[in-house]
Amino acid sequence: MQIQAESDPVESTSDSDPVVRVTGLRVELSSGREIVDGISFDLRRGQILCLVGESGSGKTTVSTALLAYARSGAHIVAGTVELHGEDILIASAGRRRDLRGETVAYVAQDPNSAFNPALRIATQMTEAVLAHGWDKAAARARIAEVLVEVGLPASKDFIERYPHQLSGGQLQRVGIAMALMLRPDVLVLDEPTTGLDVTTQSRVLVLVRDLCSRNGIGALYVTHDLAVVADIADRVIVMLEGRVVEEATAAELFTRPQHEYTQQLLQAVPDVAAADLSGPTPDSDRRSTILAVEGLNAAYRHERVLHDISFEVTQGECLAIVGESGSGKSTLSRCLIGLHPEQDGAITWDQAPLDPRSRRRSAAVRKDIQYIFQSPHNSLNPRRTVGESIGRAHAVVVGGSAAPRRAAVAEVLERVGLRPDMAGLYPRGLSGGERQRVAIARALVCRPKLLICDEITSALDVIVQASILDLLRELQRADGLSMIFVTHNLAVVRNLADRVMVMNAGNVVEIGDMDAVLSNPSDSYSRELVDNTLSMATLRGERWVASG
Amino acid sequence: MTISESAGLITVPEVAGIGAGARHRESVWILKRLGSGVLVLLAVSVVVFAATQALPSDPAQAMLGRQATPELLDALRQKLGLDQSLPVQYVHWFSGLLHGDLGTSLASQQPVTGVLGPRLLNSLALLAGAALIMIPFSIGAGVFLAARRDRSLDRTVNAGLMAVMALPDFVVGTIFLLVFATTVMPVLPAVSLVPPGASGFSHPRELVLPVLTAVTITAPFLIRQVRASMIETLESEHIAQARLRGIAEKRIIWRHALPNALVPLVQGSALMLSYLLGGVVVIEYVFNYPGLGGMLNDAVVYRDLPVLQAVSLTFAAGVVAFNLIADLLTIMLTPRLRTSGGAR
Repeated sequence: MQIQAESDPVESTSDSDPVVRVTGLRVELSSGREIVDGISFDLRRGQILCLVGESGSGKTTVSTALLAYARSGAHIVAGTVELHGEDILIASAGRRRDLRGETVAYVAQDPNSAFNPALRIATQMTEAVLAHGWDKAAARARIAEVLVEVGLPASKDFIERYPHQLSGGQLQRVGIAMALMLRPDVLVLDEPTTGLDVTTQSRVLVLVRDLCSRNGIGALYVTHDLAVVADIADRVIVMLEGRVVEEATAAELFTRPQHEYTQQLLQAVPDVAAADLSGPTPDSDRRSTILAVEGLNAAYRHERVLHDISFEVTQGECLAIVGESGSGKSTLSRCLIGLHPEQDGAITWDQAPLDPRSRRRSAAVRKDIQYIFQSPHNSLNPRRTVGESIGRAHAVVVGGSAAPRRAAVAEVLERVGLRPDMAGLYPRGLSGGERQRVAIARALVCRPKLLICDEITSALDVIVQASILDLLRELQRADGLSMIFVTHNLAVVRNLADRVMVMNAGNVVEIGDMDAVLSNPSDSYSRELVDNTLSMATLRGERWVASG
Repeated sequence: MTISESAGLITVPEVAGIGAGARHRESVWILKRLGSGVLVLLAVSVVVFAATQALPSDPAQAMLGRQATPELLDALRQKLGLDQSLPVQYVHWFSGLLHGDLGTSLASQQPVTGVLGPRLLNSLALLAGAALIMIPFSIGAGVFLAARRDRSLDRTVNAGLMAVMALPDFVVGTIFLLVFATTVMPVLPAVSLVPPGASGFSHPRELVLPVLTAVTITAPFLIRQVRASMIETLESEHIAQARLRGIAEKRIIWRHALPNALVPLVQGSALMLSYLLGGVVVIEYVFNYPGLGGMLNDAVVYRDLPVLQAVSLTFAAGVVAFNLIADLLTIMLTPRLRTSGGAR
């Protein structure tokens, strides 16, 4: 039977001793360039420590260093990582393997790539405990225990499945269950909810908090989402460019942020429960309708993905289309721009019917409706300079000679907050936010009447996201541009949209003024969506201000 | 309070297709693939027939020589059915094919099936021997190199493999011949004297050098393929996760990485075996090994159309069969494809 699992050599140590003590950790690339440096912190039993920072701040590097692991090309060169006083960084390879899983366990960011596609769930869950000398029956029994703990069925049918036969949410739970197999004292969770929709995310958060408090597990929870931090953290570490800029209890951090960067970060977070800043709702009766969709259906081969969609967009209005992944919102925007011909129903633009195929639409219509893609990393041609990309759009829809085109490019770059001399740069020389600004500039140079934005901030960090949203708001106010803003993040639309349309499984479940939908949703699905969207303001009120 | 109460039990959707449904779809898929294989062979038969007919020579003339009188030629053409229209000739030939009658060799005046059978067996013996060594050896060597990626041993061996791949086939064969059968250590027969009527299977000593040559020609390509796909797999996220779970490196390589890296090897092996089936006339020539390649060569020289057609069709059938087997193995090795009953 399992002997190792029960004998816990640290049971005698007092609760105030940290289970993890990191001091002076430095990880660098083979070139000698630092990824993180001077990282020190403690983690105690039952405590959830959140590690916050934007992409590239080194938070994942710190999290895997707790298991003495650095991604290929990187090396841990200085510091100590003590687990119950034993430095895992200097442990032998065999001892390190023992500590991994038994003392500290890791839950990966993307559940879909964290599992071996060629091995069954049961095989992957049991192999670590079998390597620790358990027998098969004990391993099977333990699988059943941990699966029940994460709310999954422990049936033979379930554990004999392959990873691709489970949903993302189920896989993430299996990942957490797998980490619990050897009853570790420390869990390292690297953005475990990033790829999940809000409903699943809130379940996973509840689960993690329960597990930690019930089993006395110390958790290092890595995330870029401050709303998640507000929900789950006891203590918070804020990282910027490989260094810790602030460490505080969650209450302190959210009520009295010390470091300038933390303050900036807190301000940039869009909040679904924030006050409405968008001014008076436009009087839609007086404005003319520019786009009307009537009974739109769309399919991929034989599978219908949009069912009888009808809505209108008026002049100067921003309509947010909100839904979780798979709700059909991207297909809908592709139908509007003419990239999804498998559709039927009527789309009317300026009183004239719109052809399902973009190439059959008139040049004027193509100029009027512009589209911005989700990822700025692959929507710009890497072999063209910024000026060429924007100038090309200008040449196609406006025409004319080179001199006015250069002037137009310079002007539009300035409009989106970039320097005109950036026209000579290639996309690889730009940051993600700058690239997305270029993509917006490319759309704007056509002088469109309607801008369709498909999840355009989801690949960006919060501070960049906030600046892009500011830009869009400004464009809308100054130019009277109409906008369709597609997103899965309800909080993002708070200060941008006039109206919100909620989609679920290819249907419109609710459409109405933003305030009405967000504060008083009439449909049960939209209510669930709103309730599950974490709000920093609300959480702050619930967790700290109200009690203190 | 258990989590299932607090967080809500996620219901597990029925996964259709683990049981009978998938098995049914799988057999439908196999039937479809077999059907398309038959269609390919049908098309090949038309092409082979048309191509051989388009050869700028007259079989009757070739058989009787320059001194033949026009009357004799006419009589022979009539006997061979060469005076009929092409479609009629094709239908005649094809219906014979369906009955297992491949016609009569123009050169030896014997039924083609009788000539083809032993040669085919010899080629299969060579192929089986090569496959038995080549595939396990390539896996072992590829995994070995991938685990020592970019170290000096890996780099040296890699360069050596490139060099071997660059060697012409006949050079490889000749070197083996020189080393093992003539001057250096004459331990093996230089010429594969497999008596007519016997097959390579019953003459293992004669097989050694041809098989060795075949393996040397094909294995470098496969080793490099296994090495490349192993390296790619070892860099994937789930391997990093397995390491973070404390799984031993040996198990990571053989149990986690290899099953995900085998598909390119399977497809590559099918390609190499198709190549060995007929393409390596050189091996047969160097060792005088009586296989299909030499037979094809002779048929072209003697304008022996029935033999030419039969051998070409056999090659085509081999290629279709190897690819079918490779695709089946690919599906069996890929759970995602297997459980969906072959999505392709």
